Parts: sequence; C-alpha cells; structure tokens
Amino acid sequence: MKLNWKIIENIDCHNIEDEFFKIVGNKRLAQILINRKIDTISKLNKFLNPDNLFAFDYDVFEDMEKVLLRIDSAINNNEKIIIYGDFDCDGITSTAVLYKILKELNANVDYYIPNRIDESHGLNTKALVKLLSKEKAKLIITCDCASSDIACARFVKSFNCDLIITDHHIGKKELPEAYAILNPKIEGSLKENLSLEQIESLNELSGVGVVFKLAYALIKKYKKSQAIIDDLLVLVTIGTIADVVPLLNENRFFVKNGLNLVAYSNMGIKTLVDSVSYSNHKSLTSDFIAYQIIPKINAEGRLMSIKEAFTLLTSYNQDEINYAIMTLTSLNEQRQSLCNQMFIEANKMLENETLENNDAIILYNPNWHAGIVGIVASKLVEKYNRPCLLFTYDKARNLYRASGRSVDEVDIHELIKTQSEFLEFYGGHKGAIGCAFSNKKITFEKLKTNLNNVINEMTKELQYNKYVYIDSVLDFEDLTIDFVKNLSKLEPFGEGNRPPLFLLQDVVLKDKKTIGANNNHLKCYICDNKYNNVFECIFWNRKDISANINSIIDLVFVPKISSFNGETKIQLEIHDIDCKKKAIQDNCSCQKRTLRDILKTACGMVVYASRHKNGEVDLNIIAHKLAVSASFVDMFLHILNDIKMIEIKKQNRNLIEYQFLGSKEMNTIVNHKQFANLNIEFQKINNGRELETVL
Amino acid sequence: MIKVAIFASNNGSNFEAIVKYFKYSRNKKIKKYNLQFVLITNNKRAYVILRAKKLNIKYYIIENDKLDEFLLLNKFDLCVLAGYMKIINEKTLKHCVFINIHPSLLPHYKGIDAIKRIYKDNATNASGVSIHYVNKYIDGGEVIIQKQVKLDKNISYACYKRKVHLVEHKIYPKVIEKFLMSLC
Repeated sequence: MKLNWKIIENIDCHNIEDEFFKIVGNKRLAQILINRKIDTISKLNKFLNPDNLFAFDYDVFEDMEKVLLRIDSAINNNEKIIIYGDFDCDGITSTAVLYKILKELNANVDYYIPNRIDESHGLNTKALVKLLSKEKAKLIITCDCASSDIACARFVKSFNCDLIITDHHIGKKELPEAYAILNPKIEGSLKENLSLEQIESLNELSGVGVVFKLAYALIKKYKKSQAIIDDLLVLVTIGTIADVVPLLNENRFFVKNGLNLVAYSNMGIKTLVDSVSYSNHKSLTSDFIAYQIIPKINAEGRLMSIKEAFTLLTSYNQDEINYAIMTLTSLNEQRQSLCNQMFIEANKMLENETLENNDAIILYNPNWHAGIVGIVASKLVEKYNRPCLLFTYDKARNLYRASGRSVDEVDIHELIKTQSEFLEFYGGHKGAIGCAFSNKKITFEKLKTNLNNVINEMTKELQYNKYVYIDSVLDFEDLTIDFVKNLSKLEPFGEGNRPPLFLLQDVVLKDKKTIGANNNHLKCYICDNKYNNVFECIFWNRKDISANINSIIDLVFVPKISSFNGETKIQLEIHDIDCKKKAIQDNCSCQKRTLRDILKTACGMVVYASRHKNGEVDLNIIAHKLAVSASFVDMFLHILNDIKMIEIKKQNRNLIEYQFLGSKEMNTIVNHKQFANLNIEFQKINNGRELETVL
Repeated sequence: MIKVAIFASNNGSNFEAIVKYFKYSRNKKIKKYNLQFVLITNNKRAYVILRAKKLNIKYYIIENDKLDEFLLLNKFDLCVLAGYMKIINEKTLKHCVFINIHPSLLPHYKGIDAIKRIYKDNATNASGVSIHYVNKYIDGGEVIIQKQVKLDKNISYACYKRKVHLVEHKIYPKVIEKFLMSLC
C-alpha cells in the first residue's frame, strides 16, 4: 500500500547569497538545506563543519564548580564513589564515560546499573541500601536518570552521602534534594549568561552528552591527554545515536567526530565493529551504528543484568573484550528470535481482534519477556500505524507491566496519564511509555476499554496518517555520482537530520528478484522510458511489489553510492513505490472485468437479438460469448423481465423467447432484489478465472 | 467586577500559579464579583504570553514608558508584579495599588539575582520570600508578608531556586485573595 506522499514546498531562495550555493556545490542540495532552515552562510558553516561549536564548553552548569570540588575531595580522601546508571544504551555509555575518567583519576569508583526486569529506571531504595551500607558509598553520581527521584534523594541524604544528578530528562514540579544537578532541561541548572542558541543545543543533549561535559571538565582540571578525550567521544557517539536525539548542533559534532575516531580509539567498540566485518572504518555511518552495534550493546540489558556490555565499553583487555562480544552477539541472537516469535504471536492475536475507529493495539500475554515488549510494540506501530501497548505479567511483583509506542497523532504519555489512578507507576514521553497496574485496582479488559475510549475521544475527526516527506523531484539526468557524493555532506543522518528523500516519476520496472538469506529483500532494476539509464534499487524487508515487469511506477528513494569489485555505482534505496500506473505493453487481457461491464454488454446483446433474432436466444451461446455461466444469463434475463425491459414469452430449458419492451437505467438492474445473487454468481466465475490464470 | 493586572517579563510561573489558584478557588465571595485577570508584559518574546494564551487570559504587550497612559485608560483594582523586570515610575504608581514579590527576606538582598546571591553567599538569614507594596524605591515598599525558605548548601542551586519559587506560588495567590476580599 502506498503511503501518503508530500513533496516539501521550496522556500524562496532569492535572498540567499551566491556564496551559499558555491559552498554547497549543488543548487538542488542547497535548496534542501534552505528548506531545512539552514539558510545563512554562518548556519551552513556550523552545519558542515560543526567543530567550532560549544561541544567543549563545560562551564555551563551552575553547579559544575561545586561538583568538581566534591569529586576532587572524594578522590583526595579516597571516598567511595558509585556511578548509578541506567540500563539502556545511553545509560550504559554515560556510566562508562564517567567510570573511565574517574578510574583514570585513580578514584575509588564502582558502578551500579539496575536490572530492567526486576527494577525500573532511576534510583530505588533496595539498591541504595546495598550501595550505602555494603559498599559504603560517600558520593553517588547518577547518569541519565534520577531527576524525578525525590524520595530516594532524601534517603541518600539521610545517610550523609552526597548525590550528584546528571540527566537529561524533564523533572517534576518538585526537585530531588541532590547535592548538585547537571541537567540542561531543569530550570536553574544551566548558567544564566548562555546564548539562546547554546541553551537550545544543550537541551538536545543525550544523557551521555551531559556526562561528557563533566568528564571534559575533569580532563581539563587534571590536564589529561587527548587520547582519553577521543576514547570518550566514541562512547558519546554511540549513546547519542542510541537515544535518538536530534543530530544537530553539539550532537552533530559528537557523532561526526566520533564516527571518525572508532578506528583509532576505544578498544571495545573498535573490536565490535571489526567483528561485524565492516572492513572500511572510514565510511562508518550512524545507520550502521544504530542497526549493527547498538542492538548488541542493548541486548544484555533487555534479557538480564548488565555486565558484559559495560566490560566491552570500559575494558583495555583484548580477551575480556572478545568474550564480551561473543556473549553479546549470542544474546542479541536470542533477543532477535524472541522478538520474531513475539511479533508472530501478537499478529495472530490481532487476527481475533476487531479494531474499530482509531483503537489502539492493546494485547496481553503473561509469557512475553518484559525486556523486549517495547521493540515488538514499535514493530506493530510500524506495521499497523496505530498506537500499541503490549502487556506482560511480572510474577515477582504481581503486576501487569506494559511498554507502549505511538504514532505522531497520539501523545501516548498523555493517554496513559488519564488512567494514572489505576496505575502503580508510569513514565515516558510523547512517543514511548512504560507503565504497570495491579488487577486489584482494574482488570486488563477494563483498562483496555478505558484507553480505547480516551484514544477515540482524543483523535476525533482525524485519521492516522503516515506521511513520506519528499525533499525533491528528480530526473534521471540529475542522478550522477557527483550529486550523490555531494549528499554525504549532510551526514551523519539521524533524528532531526533525516536523509533526503527523492522522487522519480514514470520509470520503467525492468526486473525484480528477492535477495537475502530468507529472501526477504527485493532487488529491482529501473530505467527511463527510452530504456536508458538503468539503476539498481533495493527495497529492504519487502518481498515483492504489485507492479509487473515493464510497468511504469513512481518511486521514493535515498540514493547511495555502492562500491563493489572496484566499480562505483549508484544504488537507490527504495522507501516507497506507487505501482498504480498503466503497463507499457497491452495488458488488457489481464485487466479485471467488472460486473457493470458484463451487464452493459449483455444488455446490448439482448437488444441485438430482439432486432435480428426475433428475440430468440440460447443461454449457452450468450454465456459463452460473455464468458459467464448459463445460470448467470438465466438469472439476468429474469431480472430484465421483472423490471419490464423484456417480456419472456416462452422458455424451454436453454432456449428463451422474449419481446424487448424498452431500455432501462443500469441502476434499475442494480437495485433489483436478485442482483445480489447475480453478483455472487459473477464473483464465483471470476474467482475461477483468476485461479485458471495462476495455474 | 474585580479587575487585576499581572505584570511579568519572562517565564511567568507566578502568573500561572495565581490564575490557576483563582480558577479552582471555592471562594464564593470573590467568584460572585467576577474576577478578571489580564497580563501586562514588556517583552513580546516572553514565555508568559504562551501561558496566557493557554489559560485564555487577555494579554497586552506594553513598553514601560507607555504604562502610565495605559493605566489611565484601563482601571484596575490591583496591580500584581510577578517577575516584571522594569522599574515602575512614581507617577504610574499613583493609578493603582501595586504589590510585588521578592525572593529574599527584605530588606536583605534587594534587587536582581537575589536567589543566586543568597545561595552563593550562603546567606541563611536572608533566604525566603517577601511580598510588599511597591513604592519608588527598588524592593523598598512596606512588607505585607514574609516566609522563610531553608537554605542548605548541600543541595543544588536548581533545587534551592525551585523551592523558593514553590513558596512564591503558594503564598502570592493567598495574599492577593486576602487583598481582594477586603475590596468585596
């Protein structure tokens, strides 16, 4: 099914200086940048060379000086420092960044990352008791969490332990009484003399981006080498891509530079990248990191507690790293297989569901793994374009737990908030949430009904739409190697900076075949209508398209450079196809007949026979000529008799004699009570014809 | 009808707290008099404008030097300064009763950036919130009410700032309510 295509309107570029176009080197690409609000030379330079941004400005937090002093005193007095992280990739990388630098400074440091299954995001008292009593922590520094943990912060304080929060999540109305808070999204945390541009940039940082500010401040304070900065920048890159924050401003700097550093710094990531057989480190992309590296780092935290992923990011021992990679790869395979199985199960359950109006997909299976329901929910949203909540059962805590994902039209956080009185906990944002409820307060079915009622109220008079935003319409001549190479100036791509999508219209589909281990991708070749300019295309996760060879299609794609055996060529990565175009060859015989067409012809034959055959017809002959059954013709003539178009005088088996009375509107036939039966007979015949064609 | 003008220049969290307090108030006496708020700001980019739009409150963007003229034409029963970063001149003050909120125990730490200065100086004796009538001197009018806020150097600046603001949001509407009751 074709998605909704929208061609982005070009913003007027008459006032843009010539120099702008010279720097970009291509007018079409310049227009795309202007459409994306990069419309001055200064903005362009910052975008193309983000080196001179604020990434190394660390003195941006009110509490930074206080934090540096506290860490210094902890190091000098050999106080136990615990880094309290989070189990997602952003959390693990931020914990690793801080751990590495504090180890480098010979601090007495350890880390704690809660378990996704038994614990939840943020601080929890049980873990804190252990850290404060057993580990004798004197300073706890959080990474990517704790901005809302008011009670836990008070608990830490009561043990005379200082708590430093580093985070990027929005807090509640009341703030935790922490010793210091480094969180750009909390009012009062940032210094007041910063420019609006810098505040905006800081607000987009991921958890690891915030931690890097602290790490860099420590590096400067203790005059540490460039090598450790490079090592940490690779980790920042991984966490930033994983957290899907906008890849603009400082984040763009981190990712652009970090990708270039993978080949030289951070042993663990370098080995992991090598293990995925990526021979050319120079052309590493954010997509590669997102699809090949991050799932492996995340896999462990989804299924059990984190150990090997942390070792991978922090170790300098090759054997340890190799073992970690082996474990993570195997866990990721397990995770993939569990996801596939859960996805199939969810689809089967959906077959028995009736989704009405804008209902969400809300399913429950006590056996589903809590660590991966979020991934499957995302896949279901992608497939069905509706919000989705998948519930599983947490036996240890006697709770129904869910992960939810949503479409653009529905703020799922607002949705779940409406049921907060029944929930034990909930959290998240517009696009993704986690929540839990106990069946003492509400049943699953009741909650499901409530949610669907609210959702239908929220989305009244709107439909879920999935849009594909096209940056530019191209001709075949535009698709040159230089043009595609020029596009790489926009990389790294990600949230806030998506790869440009192009449209080619009226192209001829030359060939198509499935590829991949499970034949789950489609490779095809297209050319222009003069059969010149052949391009290879790839459609990931698509087994077939409805267009036949030699038919004309429109396609939306991202052009890529592909090098194989020394040959460099353009490959079009297809995002969507419109196949509803006429075929080049005469395919009339394949066109589907409609009942209306048949009836028109049949009426013509009835009039003809009345004039030239004295109104005598053989049902078999008409049926043969119309390629329908004799009973169809019989039924049809009796309808004509009923509506007084003809009057049947005599019928002897297949022979009918009639008198033509006068023409009637087609609707008179359609409205006749026997028309439904006529239609059923027609469908039977048609199905038979289709089957014959297939055979 | 009772008309109250709230003056704010930037964020406007006090503005929102006041409007919401009266929106959900069960004070029948004031409700009977049909209380009406307007926002006056000197900053067309202030976030408080967005808050006003969301709360459906009429707002005016008025330069400080045009205030006098505006208040002559539009009579208000009370003018509430809630983070208004300009000094109201003496002549304008005569048109209406003005009250202001200040994040310190006055007369300590008058003027801007009081929260930060108090935090940096660890000035525990000055930490709090004061609501006062406005006169020609900066934060120099008669104090109506004061409330202390505990200052602990071992908590973050952001947390201290938030604590002060939460106290402001709690006491400012109540002082306004008391004043308005005296008008009813």
